[in-house]
Order: sequence, then structure tokens, then C-alpha cells
Amino acid sequence: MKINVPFSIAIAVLSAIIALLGYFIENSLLNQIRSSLLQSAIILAGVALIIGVINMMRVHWVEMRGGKGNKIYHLTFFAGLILTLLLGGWFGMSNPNGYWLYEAVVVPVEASLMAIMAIFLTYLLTKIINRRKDFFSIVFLVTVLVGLLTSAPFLGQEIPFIATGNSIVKSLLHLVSNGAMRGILIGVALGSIATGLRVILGSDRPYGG
Amino acid sequence: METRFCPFCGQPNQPDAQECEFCHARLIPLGEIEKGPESETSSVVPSIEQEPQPEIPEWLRDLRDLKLDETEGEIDEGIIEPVEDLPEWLKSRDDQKGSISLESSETLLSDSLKNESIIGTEAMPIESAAITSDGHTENSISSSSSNEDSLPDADFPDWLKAMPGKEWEDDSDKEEDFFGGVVPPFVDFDESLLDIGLSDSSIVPEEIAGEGVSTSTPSSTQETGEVLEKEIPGGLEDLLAKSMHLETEEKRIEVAGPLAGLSDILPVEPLIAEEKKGFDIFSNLLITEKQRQHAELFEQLIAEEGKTKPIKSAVTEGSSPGLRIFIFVIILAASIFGVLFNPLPGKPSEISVGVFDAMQALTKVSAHSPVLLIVDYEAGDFAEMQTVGFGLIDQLMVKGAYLVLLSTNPLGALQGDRLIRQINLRGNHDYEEQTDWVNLGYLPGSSAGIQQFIQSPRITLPLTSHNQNIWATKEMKNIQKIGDFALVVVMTENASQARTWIEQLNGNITPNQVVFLVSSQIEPVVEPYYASISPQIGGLVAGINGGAIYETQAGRNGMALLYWDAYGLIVSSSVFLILFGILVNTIGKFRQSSSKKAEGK
Amino acid sequence: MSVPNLIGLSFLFFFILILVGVYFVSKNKKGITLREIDAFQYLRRAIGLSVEEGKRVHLALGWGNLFTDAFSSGLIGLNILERISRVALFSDKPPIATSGNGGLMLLSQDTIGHSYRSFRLTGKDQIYSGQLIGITPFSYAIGAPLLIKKESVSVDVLLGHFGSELGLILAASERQKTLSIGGSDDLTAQAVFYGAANYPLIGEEMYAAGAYLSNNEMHKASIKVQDYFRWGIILFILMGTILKIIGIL
Repeated sequence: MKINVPFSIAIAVLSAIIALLGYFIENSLLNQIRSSLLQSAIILAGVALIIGVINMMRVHWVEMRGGKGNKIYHLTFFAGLILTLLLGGWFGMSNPNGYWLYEAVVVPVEASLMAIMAIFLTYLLTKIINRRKDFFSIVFLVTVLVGLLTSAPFLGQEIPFIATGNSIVKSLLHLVSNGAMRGILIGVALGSIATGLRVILGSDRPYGG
Repeated sequence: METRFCPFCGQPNQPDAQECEFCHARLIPLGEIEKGPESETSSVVPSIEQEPQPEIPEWLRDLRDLKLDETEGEIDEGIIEPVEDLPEWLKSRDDQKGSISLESSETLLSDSLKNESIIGTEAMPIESAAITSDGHTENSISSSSSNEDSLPDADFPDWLKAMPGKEWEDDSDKEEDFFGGVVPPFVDFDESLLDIGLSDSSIVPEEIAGEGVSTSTPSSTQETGEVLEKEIPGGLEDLLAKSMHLETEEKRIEVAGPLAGLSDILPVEPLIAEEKKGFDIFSNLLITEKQRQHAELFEQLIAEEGKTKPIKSAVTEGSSPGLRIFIFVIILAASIFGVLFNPLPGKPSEISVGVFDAMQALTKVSAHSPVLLIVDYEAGDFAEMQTVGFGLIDQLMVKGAYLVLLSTNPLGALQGDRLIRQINLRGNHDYEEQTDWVNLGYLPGSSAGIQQFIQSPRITLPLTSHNQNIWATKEMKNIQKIGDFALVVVMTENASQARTWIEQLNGNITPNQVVFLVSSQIEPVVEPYYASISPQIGGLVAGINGGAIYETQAGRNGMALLYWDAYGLIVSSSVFLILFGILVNTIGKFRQSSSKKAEGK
Repeated sequence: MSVPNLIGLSFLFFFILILVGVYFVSKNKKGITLREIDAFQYLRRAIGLSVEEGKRVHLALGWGNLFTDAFSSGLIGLNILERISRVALFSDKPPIATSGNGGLMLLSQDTIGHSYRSFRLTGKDQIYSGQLIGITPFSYAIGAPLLIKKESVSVDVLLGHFGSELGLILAASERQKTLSIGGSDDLTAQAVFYGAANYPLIGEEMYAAGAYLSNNEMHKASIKVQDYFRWGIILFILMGTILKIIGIL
């Protein structure tokens, strides 16, 4: 069933306004409506996740049957999915049987990915000068190096004026980076507000309207 | 008749006034005075006096024709008259060119016979004028001039070929010059067409669109004329037409001012009126705001289109697997060496105020006091967060605090379980689930869920992850709101999550009751909330560095100190690798470019 | 209502008021000039080039949750997806959108479907066009590189909420020699973008995407309003500092 576009806009705008007002105004009725909306949204998000997983299964299935890509990837995906569904669904994830899956698969895989990422970032940093030959790339690079040097002693030795306690370089870096971050965050916050308000006003319609 | 505006001061004057009442400047240009009945005294060369038309470019001629259609143009008659006086060879040429060219030829001839010096490039026929994309005027050789080009050289006597007026045939550069001669005095071509509101893209000649090649056709000229008729205010049009005559004047007798009666003086109006400022006065007076906006828009459009905006080409380099593997090997070796051999001397000697305050916050926690421990990080960050939080959670366990775990991450419940078990094991504690700690599990709804939990925790999460009601236990029975917890510890590696918790906790709990354990990557985001004059959090432990400081201060040999050497070695090797990699890449790039240059040679 | 809530609500109300006001005032005015941002300039060109080359544009929407402020960056990504899909719809290989969140995936499919519908076409590969490739940040980060390699992607557009795991996607992009353009609301992700992407969008530049890539007056108005408020905040900070220095505060 295709919902009429103006109708969907009206629902979206109304829900957004209620959620927004409920956030600021302490009113029992408003809070109740907002709470109901939130609960519905959480359920919908859960349903969306299930649909997403089904979509993922479909893609893997179609590709596996079509001989597209490496079959081992697709088979690993299905094996992992079925195992997690069985163990988690049957025992629950807090149960040692389900917990094992998290302990033995999720944590080591993600931790090793984190480590790989550190290597990739180091590698990509070595190429920054070749990629963008500008002043700010050099500033960025110098900041990264100083930041690294201030986070831990270089080979166990604290470099004077850089890593020692509250050194000038460290304090300066701290001040500048904090200020810059705040500035960026203010800009991002304004952008987020403007984006959100465009949705509330019905100007942006990410629901195909 | 319309009011005459002074070209100098811009003040309105009587329609028949010759001098400005305000500044006494001449209102009617010299040429105009001479043409009128009162200009009988002037001794301008008759042919030029009678026939100013050939000097008019086609666009203006069309404009005038259109205007004259309404007022039964007298000029048309004047144009045809002199044809009879022309020699045969010019007549045949004129037949091909049309009336304007006839006039121009006639002018050329008569001028050349009477006064060679008078004939300049300005006397040449011009069909259209265009403006190039970069704003310069450009004369386009259109149909008539091209016909002229096609005439056999034999048709022209040698003496005529050698005349300055024919220079354009041999040297195209000269074309630039003659245009200056026909530009109406009140019209600066750099902006004139734009300023009068030619905003309709359909009538924009291709030269304006940036192509640079003139392809003006009669139809396009006609369209231009139509638009000009609509857009140019009447007063300005008349002024343009009148000012055209001045270009042809050579011998004049001054009729006004202190030089009255003298001949061959330089006419002052065209020179001054060509100034931009003079025109601006008129444009401000005679064009509407909408027209001005259109003109500005059009001008901007032309400027934008003409410019070629070079986009910085992105450098897509090939991957260097050798360098990647080298980095991997070095970092792996550093971490293994650091963990196994602890080669670096000492512990962190730094004193952190955030860590000190976090330790102070713990002093208010007594045995069985409920402490809310929020575990908001991903599984990939478990290693770092466990190292950061070990010292503080270990101390809480030493004190015998009742830990209540909560997470806004779906996997957070499992992370919390694992964290407590690991610290329990490493710190030799005997913490039991249910009796010493509980897990409330996953809190959905992000910021809205957090807000709801802070206001009414009992209603938001009535059961634990094991479906048990813990709110009736002796440790939890007094908890009605978030402020009733002895301490709230937030562990996160996510900047926005940290911000959300700080903002929601603000006002609902005293800052001294809140401690943040964060990864080093978000320390700069959280730090201002702690370091400000009115802090919103009571203590801050950031990164492995912070964790190691905490453990050193607390006198415990925890995970942070265990990995401290490995961490130091990895950081040091990363600095070295970055510098080394840059050197390798730069040399490689340099070699590549020099070999390319060599190939090129 | 508490004072902070009152201030917050007033701020939003004021923002809406100015936004709507600026929209109506600037609606009839033409010729708003935006400063040049390389990323958007290149993106416009890259879409056309990828269509010509018969390659795909990959749009990564990140894993922003619908209930967090991080979702706003996902909304920007969806906005761009609509523009890209409209341009590249008739290509042999239409654009592909990946996300790490079920809600974003549904919205991306709907957005692409809407583009098809607007041309009275039926999207046949919708399950491919909008894909969920991982429900945690790292699973998303290892799923995206596989897709980049498999689908012969020419341009990676990454607009959404990411964390440091973004490095894995950009590393894959670099290995495949594809061009990467990206922005995020997350500071860590912005730092990674700056170090590793070809065309990074820093700060709120990402939020200007709609104004740069479309002719939407509301987007342009919102950029103006953001600027007004930014100046307001700067003045506010400066005033506070001065008052503090002279001892009034």
C-alpha cells in the first residue's frame, strides 16, 4: 500500500513536533504521547533491522546462486547468522552458551579490526603529503606527531617541552585542539539543527515524498 | 518632450534648455546643436553633418528602426538619398551590402576626397557588437562586412586600399580600434548592454556565452532590438542616438562657454560622458530596480560561465603493500616486545587533575552504595576501555560498592558482563552477580531513552537483563531518580554519546557524583565539560595514559600499567613509521616524476 | 519548564522563525553565491564521469541511529542519494547505497525507488541499490570494502555517521584506486577523512551539500541562517570574554 505523500508528511511533521515539545515541556499528556511515539519508533527500528537482515540474506543468497563474488564469504555469512540465531535465540546471549559466541568471535574479530585500522591509518598518513600538497596537510601531520608524542613517552623518555607534564607544547596543543573542536562542534550542531528543522517543516522528506 | 537631465550633475532641466540651470553644462551635445535649426552657424563638413548614420552599429540601428517604426522614421529617407551621388563601383558594392553599407561607403569616399585625415577606422561599417565572456568588447564581422570582404580587390583603387580606413582588411587587430570610435558616448560597452537589463538568456549572443565566435544573424539582432526596445528607457535611447553623431564631428565651432566662437576645439561632452560615473547617474535614474537586478544577475552569469574553474585533480595512487606490511610487522613486534619484556623504564610520572578528582569522587562511596556504571562502547574498543576503567572499577570493588550496569548499546549488556568478570579476575575480587552487581541491560531510544531513565529509572527499566526486579532490594529501594545513586560512572568512546549523557545528567545530579572514563580520542570533546569554571562532571580519566596514572596513584598494578610499555613502544614506532613512510613516498614520487621528465625529453 | 529547557525551546523557535523568514525573503532573490568547495565540485563531475565509464557511485550512509543526533548526517546522505540516483539512474550501473542501520536502509531504498518512480520506471535491483551490510560499526566497515571491490565502484561518497572504523573503508577505497569524498558529524571520523580521503568535508560543510547540489531554496536559506547564528555565537563568545576580562561576569 502506498501512503499518500501529503498524509505521510503530515504524520511526520506532527510526530516530530510532539517529540520536540515533549523534550522541552514537562506535561504529563505530552510526555505520554511522546513516550508512545518513542516506543512505536523503537519497535519500528527493530522491525527495520529485521527487514535489513532479510535484505542482506537475499543479497547474499542471490549472489551465491548467481556465482557472483566469492562463495566462501556468502557461506560464512549464512553459517554465522544461523549459529547466532540458534544460540542466542535458544539460550539467550547472557547465557554462557550464547556469551561464548560474543567472547570467542565478536570481541577478537573487532579488536583485531581495530588493530588493523591503526595500521591503515598510519599507512594512509604516510601518503597525506602526496595526496594533498598544502599547508594544512603539513599542519595536520605535525599535530598528529606531536599528539602522539605527548600521549606517551618516546621510547620511555619524556621529550623536553613536548611530553613532560604540562609542557608548553602540550598545553598549546591542548588549547588549540580544544578550541578547534568546539568550533567544529558548534558548526555541526547548527547544521544538525537546520537539517532536523527542515524535516520538521516538511521541506526535506527522506521518506520518498 | 521629456525632461532633459544634465549629464554632469544629473539634475532635470526644461526640455528645450541648452544649458543646465544648475551647473551650466551644455545639455545638448555639439552634434545635436549643429543639426538643429539653431546650429546654422556651425561649419561642420556637410557630408558628415547630413549623414551620421553610417557610423551606427547594427544593434543600435535596429533599435532606432524599431523606435522609428512608431514615429515614422525620418532617417530612412535620409539614408537612401546620397546613394544617387555615388560612383558606379560603389553602387554595385552597396547593392550587396544594403543601406547601411552604402552610407558607410559614401562616407568613406566623401571623407577621403575632402579630408583624408578625417577618415579613420571609425568610419567603417559595423553590423553588430558583442561582448566577450571576459567583459571586453568585441566587434563581430557580420553579413555586410563579410560581403565586403568578398569583393574583388580590383574593385578598389590602389589609393583607396592604402587609406587608413581600409587597414582592418589586412590587420584584424585594428578592428579593436574602430569600435572605440562608434561606441556611443554614454554607453560603455563593458557594461552597457548588461546594465540596461538584457537578462533574457534567449537573446544572448554566443560570444556572450563564452564561445567567442560571432554568429549573429538578422533574427537574433532583431530579437535584441526588440528586447532593447522593451528594456531601454526612452530618454536613454534618445541620448544614445544623439550621442552617436558626435563621433563624426571633426570641425566644430564652440557655441557656449568661455571658448564660444573658437573652432577646432575638442568637444568636451563625449570625453566626459564616456566616463563610467556619468553613465551610472543615468542608469540609476532611468532603469528600474528589477532591471538592475537582472543586469547584475546576467553579469554574474557571464562572469561565471566564462571562467574555467579548474578542479584540483585528485591523486589516486596505487597501494603500496610492501609499506603496509612493513608497518604491520613493526607495530606487531613493538606490541609483543612491550607486553613480554617490559623494556621501558618507569611508570607515568605525570599528575592529572582529572584523575585526582575521580579518585576524590570515590571517597564518598561506601560499601553497598549503589553505583551506576554505564558501559557505552563497541566490542572493538573493549581492550582500550577495559584498560582505562580498570583502576577505578577495581577501587569500587575494593570498597564493596553495589554496581548497577546499563548500556545504550545493544551489545553493551554483554560488554558490561565481560568487563566485571575480567576486573574481578584480574583484581582478585569476589564479586557475584545479583548480590554485588546487576545488569539492567540495554536502554533503547538513545537521548530520549536516557532522558526518560534519568527522570524515572524504575519505570524505564523495571527488570534486569535476567528479568529480575532489583528495585526492591536493600541497595536499590531508595533509588527514585538518578541523583540517588552514590556515583555515576560513564564509560564511552563515542563523542556524541558522551555529550548526550553529560547534557542529560546536567541538573539532575551534582557534578561531583559523575565520573567519565573515556578513550583518548574523545578526551578533547569531554574535557571542556570538566575543566570549565562550572564543571558538569566531577572527574575524568582519559585513555591508557589516564588509566596508567590512576593505577600509579592508587598503587595498584592493573591493566594499564601492564600494557604501558607496549603502548609506549607502539606510539614511538608509529611516529617513526609515519616519518619513514613520508620519506619513502616522497622519494618514490620524486623518482617517478624525474623518470617521467626524462621520458618526456 | 526549567530555564535551560525554556532557553532551548526559545532558541529552536527563533531558529525556525528566521529560517522561514530568510526562505521567503530570499525566495524571490536570485544569485546567491556559495563559496567553492572542491568536494562538491568534484562530486558533480564524478557522477557524470562514472556514468560515462559505466561504473558505479557508492554512497555510504554510515550507521547513524534514528534516535540520535547523528542521524542528521544520514539525512544529508539520503538527500545526496536522491540527487545522485536521479542523475545516474539511466546508467548501466545505477548508484548503490550502503548503510549500517535498518532504518537507513529502508529510507535509502525508498529514496532510490522514488527516483525511479519520478521517471515512471520500475526499480528492478532495489535490494542491491540500498543494502544493509553490517549492523555494527566494524561489520559495516568490513562489508563496505568487499562491495567496493565487487561492484567496480569509481567514486565512494561517504556521508553519514561514522567512527574511527571508517579508516578501513577508506583504505579499501585507496587500494581500489577509487576516489573518496566524505563528511561526517563525528569529529574522529572527520579527522580520519582529512587524513585519508581525497576530498574531505570538514565541520558543517557536509550540511551544505543540499544547497550545493540542488537548487532547493530552503537549503540555501538554512545555510544563511546557520551563518547568522554562527556570527551570533561568535559575538556572544567575544562579549562574554570581554565582560569576563573587565570583571563584570
